[in-house]
Amino acid sequence: MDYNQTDYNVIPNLEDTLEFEDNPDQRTPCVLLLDTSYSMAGEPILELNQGLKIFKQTLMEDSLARRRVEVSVLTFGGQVDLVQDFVTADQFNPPTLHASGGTPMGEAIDRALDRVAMRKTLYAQAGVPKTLPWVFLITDGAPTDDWQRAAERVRRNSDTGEMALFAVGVQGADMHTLGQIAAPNRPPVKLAGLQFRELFAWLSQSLRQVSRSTAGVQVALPPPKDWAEGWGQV
Amino acid sequence: MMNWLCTGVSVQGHGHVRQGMPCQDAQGWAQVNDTLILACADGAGSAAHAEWGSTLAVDKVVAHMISHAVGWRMAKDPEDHQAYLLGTLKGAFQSARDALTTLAAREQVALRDLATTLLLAVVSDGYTAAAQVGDGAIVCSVGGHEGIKALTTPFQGQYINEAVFITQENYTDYLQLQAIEGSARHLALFSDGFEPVAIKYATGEPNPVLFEGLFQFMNDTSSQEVRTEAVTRLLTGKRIAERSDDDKTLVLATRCNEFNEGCPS
Repeated sequence: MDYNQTDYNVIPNLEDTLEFEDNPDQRTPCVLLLDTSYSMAGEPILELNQGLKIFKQTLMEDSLARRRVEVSVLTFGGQVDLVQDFVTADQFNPPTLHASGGTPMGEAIDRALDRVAMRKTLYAQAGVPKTLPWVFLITDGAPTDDWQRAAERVRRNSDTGEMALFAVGVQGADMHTLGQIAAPNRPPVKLAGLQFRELFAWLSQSLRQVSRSTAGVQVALPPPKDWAEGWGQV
Repeated sequence: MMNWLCTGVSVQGHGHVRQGMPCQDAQGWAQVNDTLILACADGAGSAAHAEWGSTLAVDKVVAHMISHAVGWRMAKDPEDHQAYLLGTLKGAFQSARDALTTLAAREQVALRDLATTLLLAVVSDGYTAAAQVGDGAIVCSVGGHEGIKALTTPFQGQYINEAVFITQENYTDYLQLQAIEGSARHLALFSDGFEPVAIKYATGEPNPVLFEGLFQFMNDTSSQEVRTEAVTRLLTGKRIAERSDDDKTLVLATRCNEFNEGCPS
């Protein structure tokens, strides 16, 4: 178990080991990898927090998604914090995030991929089916740490189907670097304005669809038309 | 030198709180040289002084194992050592029962007023051995890809509410004894209050997700205080409370390796 003793909880929550007893449903894991660096201060972080609330609401409207979609929140603002370990949507309390510090994106990605790998091991032990884990990266800046190694890992993990990373750049984001981090078949998307609410509504709708999927059935995701800038071109 | 991280917690079930009964579970552990000793006991809810019985039984078996562990030597024939271990476990149970008999006479109560289950595990010289009378179970992991193994299983009578205790005349008829080759890497002993989440009733197998998680936690958590608090929260938490209102005991042990920061050197 990976518990950040400074930001999450000093005492590991061992009840996590029992959640598959209560709910053996298939899981759709999603890591929200959120930039909370200083440049997000003000309106962007407020809108991001609103977006998280809508994310929760939209998932809760779906009786299957709330048992199947698992949410984890990692933030990177000065340091990488595990704000929320994986929980099913019904257990998810949207955090109120604050902005400060630099943008250790490389470390954050690394940590997210570790979390995903550990979670998948747990699913396997529990005999719980899963869909492809999503790592949803949202940033308005450029990494202030070594991101190349993380980018290579993203590439490898995408190729082997370990997970899928989606990158969204908010105004001011270094889209060029994001393009090098994201896998070529999933290029980064630029957020129109501060449309976090639309973005999270879309993400939760997509997760709802995926969480309903059964063996061998491919789900076509809706295009992110109402929040992405220039989606038609990518 | 083999070192161990051990954490044991007994909590009062809310059934006991409601009825004004004390926690009647007990647990203890010891390490002597390379030998690890773990014990727990669950005093019968129907017995007037069950908490005396469980506490004394744990103290006695641990003391017995300590005194016999001193000077243990690997026998030339490993089979001998296994037989010796099992014999010592048996002796420990008898010494616990004798102590209960003495206590009952001194306090002028019936022996059945001290009725308790008893679970005992030992890791010594390349063997892992366990003994048990009554409910609860002992599980271990020897590491590698072998997974989680049950060394003992909860007593199963014809009906779920049947129970056996070491205070019974014929307790040896119900004594489970088991030894396996190999030093366990992780061990867990628990009383029946923890069974609903720990054992899959359909198959009798230990819950692998739970124990993998608990053993990983032991491995990763260097502070004894944090471990004790985390296990206490688990045992008093709502997920288990929904399944059992009995007292609950869990004893966990993990062998130190070079990565455990909290291990004594």
